[in-house]
Amino acid sequence: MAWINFEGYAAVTLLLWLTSGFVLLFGKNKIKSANKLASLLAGAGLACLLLFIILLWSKLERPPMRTLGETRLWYAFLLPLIGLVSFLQWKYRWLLGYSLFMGALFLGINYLHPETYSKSLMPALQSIWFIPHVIVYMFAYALLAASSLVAVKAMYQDYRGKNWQTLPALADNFVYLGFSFLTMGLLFGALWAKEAWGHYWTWDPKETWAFITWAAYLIYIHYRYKHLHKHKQAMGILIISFVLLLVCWFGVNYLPTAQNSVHTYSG
Amino acid sequence: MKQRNTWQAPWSYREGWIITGGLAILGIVWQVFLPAFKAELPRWPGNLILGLFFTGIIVSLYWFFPKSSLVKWLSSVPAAVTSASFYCGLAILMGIIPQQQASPSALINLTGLNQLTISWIFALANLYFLSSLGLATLKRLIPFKKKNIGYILNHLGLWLALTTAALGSSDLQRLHMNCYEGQPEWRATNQQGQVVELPIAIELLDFKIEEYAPKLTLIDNQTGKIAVTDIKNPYFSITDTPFQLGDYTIEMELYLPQAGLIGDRFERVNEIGSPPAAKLIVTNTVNQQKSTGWVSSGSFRQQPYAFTLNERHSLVMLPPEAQKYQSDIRIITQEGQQLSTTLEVNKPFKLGGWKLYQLSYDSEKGKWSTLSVIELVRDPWIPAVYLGIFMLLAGSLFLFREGTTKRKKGENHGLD
Ligand code: HEM
Repeated sequence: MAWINFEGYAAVTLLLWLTSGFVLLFGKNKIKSANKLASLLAGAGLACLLLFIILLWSKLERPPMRTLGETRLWYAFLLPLIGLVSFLQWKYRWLLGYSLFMGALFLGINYLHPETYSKSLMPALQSIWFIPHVIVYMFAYALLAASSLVAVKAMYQDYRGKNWQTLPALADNFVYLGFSFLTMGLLFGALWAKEAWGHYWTWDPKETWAFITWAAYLIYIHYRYKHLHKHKQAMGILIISFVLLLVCWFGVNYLPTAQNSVHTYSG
Repeated sequence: MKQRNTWQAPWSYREGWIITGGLAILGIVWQVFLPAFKAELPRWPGNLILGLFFTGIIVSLYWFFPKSSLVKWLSSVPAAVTSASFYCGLAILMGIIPQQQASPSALINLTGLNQLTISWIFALANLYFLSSLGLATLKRLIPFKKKNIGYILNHLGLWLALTTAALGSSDLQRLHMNCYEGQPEWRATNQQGQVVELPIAIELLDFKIEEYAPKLTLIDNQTGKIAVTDIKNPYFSITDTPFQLGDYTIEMELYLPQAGLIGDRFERVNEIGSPPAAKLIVTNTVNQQKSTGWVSSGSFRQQPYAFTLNERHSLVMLPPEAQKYQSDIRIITQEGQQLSTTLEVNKPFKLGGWKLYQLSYDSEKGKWSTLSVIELVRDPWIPAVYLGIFMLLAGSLFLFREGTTKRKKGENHGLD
C-alpha cells in the first residue's frame, strides 16, 4: 500500500506552515501575538505530520526509518521542531522561517517522489539498537543542519555588510547539542555492530564517513573554544563539516567504495 | 601581536601542519622503501608492553617537562585540530579509495592507500593524534578538579577506547565455521584463509528460516528488466493484494506456500525445494481485459514461473526474503561437556572468551539449507574499549550543558 493518503497530510501541514511563514514575515506590528500565532500554526503542522508518521509506522509494522524517503520524512518533522523550540527559546524569527521552509522542501521532495513501502526488514536490522541509533542520528543531523542554516545566514549578513556577530553563539548551541547526539549515534552504532556483525568497528564506508563527519565537528568545537572571535573561519569550518555530513548521509551510495558497504539500503 | 618565527614558542598551527606533512611524507616513504617492515602491532603480551610504554612516555613527559614547548603544544588546541585533520583526511581517502583490494593505480598500491588501516601513514597519524589527546587529557586530569569531569570523560574515554582498540586489534580473532546438519565441526577458517582447530566442536542440530511473504513485480518481456520505473519501490508483497502496478490491477485468488507445477497449474506439495506459488487475477485498467494465471518464485529445485500478461509485460514472483534465521546447535568441549543453544542474527552466544554469531547459510537453498555459517570472535581487549565507549557516552551528556549555557565573554582562553 502506498502513502496512506500522504498527499492529504502533507497538504494540511504545508498549508499550516505556509500561513505560519506569512505571519512571521508580515506580522511585524504586533510582535507578541504574531509570534504566538506563528508558533501555534507551526505546531499544528508538526502535529499533523507526527500523526502521519505514527499511522505509517503502525501500517508498516516496522519503524519507518529505512529508506532515504523515510528519513526525509523525519527531517521534515525534526527540523521545524527544532526551529520551533529554538524560536520559543530565543525568538529568532528567521530561523523558524527557514526551518519551516526546509521541512516543507523535504515534504515536497517526498510528494514528487512517492515511494511505496516495503514491510520487510532484514534480520540484521531487527535489533533493540535500531530505533535509538537512528533517532539519535536524525536528531544530530537535524541540529547540525540548523547550525549550517545559521552559518549560511551569517555569511549572507557578512556579504551584505550587516552585523552578524551574535550568530556564531547560536550556531555553537546547535553544534554542541548536535555533536552530543552524533557521538551517541556513532557509539550506539558501534555497540550494535558488535552484536550484529561481530565487531564494533570495521571501517565500512558508511562508518568511515560517519567518523569523518564526527571528526569535522570535533575540529569546529575545538577551533571555537580556542578562537572565540575568529568567526569567519569558524563559519567556514561549519559549512565544510555540513558538506561532509551530506556525503555521509546520501553521497556514500555514489562513491567508488559503496559496493563494499553493508549499509547501502534501497531508497 | 608580534610576528612569531616558525618553531619559536609557543608553537601553533604552522608547526602543526609542518609536523602533519612531515609525518605524512615519512609514512609514505617508509611504506614504499621498507615494505617488508610492516606497520603491525605485536600480539599479547607485546601489545600490552607497547601500550604501557606509550602511556609511560606520555605521563613522564607531562610529569617531568610540563613547561617544555613540546608538551605545551601537544596538549593545545592547534595540535588537536591539526592531528584530527590529519586523521580525518586519511579517513576521507579511506572513504573514497576502495579498501582491501588491489587498486588499478600502481601508485595507490605502492603507497598502501588501498590498505590504509595497516599502512605506516595511518600508524603515524594515530600516534600523533593519541599523543595530543593523551597530553590534552592529562592537562585537566592532574590535578583533578570536579568541574573538569565532563572534559575528562570525553577525552580520557576517547583516548582509552582508541588506544585499546588499536592495541587489541592484533589479538582480535574472527573465524568462520561451516556447520552442516548432524556433523560436529571443530575446524574454522581465519581471515587469512588458514584453517584453525578449536578446542570445542559445534554440531548444527537444525537450521531454520522464517520468511516474509514473497513479492511480485512487473517485468518487460524484451529486456527482462523491471517495467514500472516511475515509482521507487515497484515490488508488492502478495499480502498487499489487491494493488495497482502500472496499467494493471492485481488480485490474488489462491496462495500456496509450497507448491509444485503439475501440467500448467500448481498444486500444494510438501517436498524439499517446493517454492511458493500464487494464482492471480489481473485486470488491464486501459481496456478492462481480465486474465488469470500462475506465478512462482522457483527454487534450487524448480524453475521460476512467470505469468505472461501480453507481448510486453509479465508478472514475476521474487524468492521470499528471510525475516529471521537461526541455528540450533550443540557445543561439545574437549572435556566432553555438552551444551545446546540457539544462535540468531543480533543474538550472539558467549562461551569462554569467545562469542558465537549466526553469520549466513547456503542462500541458494534458502530455507532448505543444511549449512549454517557461524562466526567465532575473540577480542580480549573489549572490556577496556567498552569502558572508553561508556565514558564517552556519559561525556556526551555533558555537552548538553555546554551547549545550553552561553559562554561568557572573558571565558575565552584563546590567543586571538
Ligand atoms: C569525544 C571527543 C571530544 C569532545 C566531546 C571534546 C570536547 C571538548 C570540549 C567541550 C572542550 C572545551 C573544554 C571546556 O569548555 O572546558 C575541549 C577542549 C580541548 N580538547 Fe577536546 N574534545 C574531544 C576530543 C578531543 C581530541 C581528540 C583532542 C586532541 C587530539 C582534544 C583536545 C582538546 C584540547 C587540547 C582542549 C583544550 C583544553 C585546554 O586548553 O584546557 N579533544 N574538548
